[in-house]
Amino acid sequence: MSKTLEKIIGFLLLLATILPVSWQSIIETLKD
Amino acid sequence: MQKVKRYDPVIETKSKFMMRGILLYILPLPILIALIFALLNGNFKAIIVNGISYALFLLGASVARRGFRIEKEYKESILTYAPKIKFKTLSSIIISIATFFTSFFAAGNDLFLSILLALISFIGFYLYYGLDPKIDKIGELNLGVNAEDVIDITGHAKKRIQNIKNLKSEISDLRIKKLLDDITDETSLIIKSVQENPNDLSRARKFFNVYLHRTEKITIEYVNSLKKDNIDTTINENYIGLLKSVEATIHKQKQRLNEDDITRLDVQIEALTKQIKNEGV
Repeated sequence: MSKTLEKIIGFLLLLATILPVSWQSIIETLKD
Repeated sequence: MQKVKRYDPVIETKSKFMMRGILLYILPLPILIALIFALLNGNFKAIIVNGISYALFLLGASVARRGFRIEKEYKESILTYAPKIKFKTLSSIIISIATFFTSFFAAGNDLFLSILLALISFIGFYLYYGLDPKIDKIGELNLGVNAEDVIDITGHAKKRIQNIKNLKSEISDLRIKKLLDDITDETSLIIKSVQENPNDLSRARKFFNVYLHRTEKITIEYVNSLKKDNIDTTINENYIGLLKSVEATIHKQKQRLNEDDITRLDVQIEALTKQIKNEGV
């Protein structure tokens, strides 16, 4: 796997995990 | 192997802004918004949970950026040891814990999904940023040249240069600023030369230990006198004269790094040492 592809996948994985849970925390806070 | 003093490169790049790792501050920003909402609503549980989540992400990002700075220095150094503290690895663990905590406590996901997200974020960090360097860059040294000495002496010299640069910011005289710039630039080239050819260390050792040390010392004394408003024209001119002597000798030192004329250099260092002692600022 090339270095660039590794970086793209890594970036997407970080984006796909941290961002959704962060937004969910807003929704959960507003629910309360 | 003797106990090795690791060169601490953090000081040298502290002032330079670095983009790498900014993403780790941006991605958890919604948690900050959640925290603000929680504060506005007076929701105590949400304040605590979002507060801890955001703090964990900030901690992870700060540790990662420290790791990036060290890695940058490691990559730029010709001769250095691998970092002792694995900041990037530590950061990837903190970010994973932060992801788990946020998912489970702040976002209300179940345990399995939260663990899965934490693992994915760890893999994401590893792929995107990589982990810490592990290999010592000590090159091939001749008999009688110790890698520990080279790294230690050039590391100290770099710290001295940085200190002189910091002191320079407190001096307003443009002639002195220019001379200090020349001295630090030329010394950096000598350090690079020694790192590229560690066998030159014997010739440069005295220069680093005596010269650079003296230059740093007289600059500290000069700045202290400036702060006390205790500088007159004579002291100023003496200091400029000393800096010029240092600059001239550094220039010769650079030229002689390629020669085997240690005796001449020693004589010159002795002469400058006497001059510094006699005209001490």
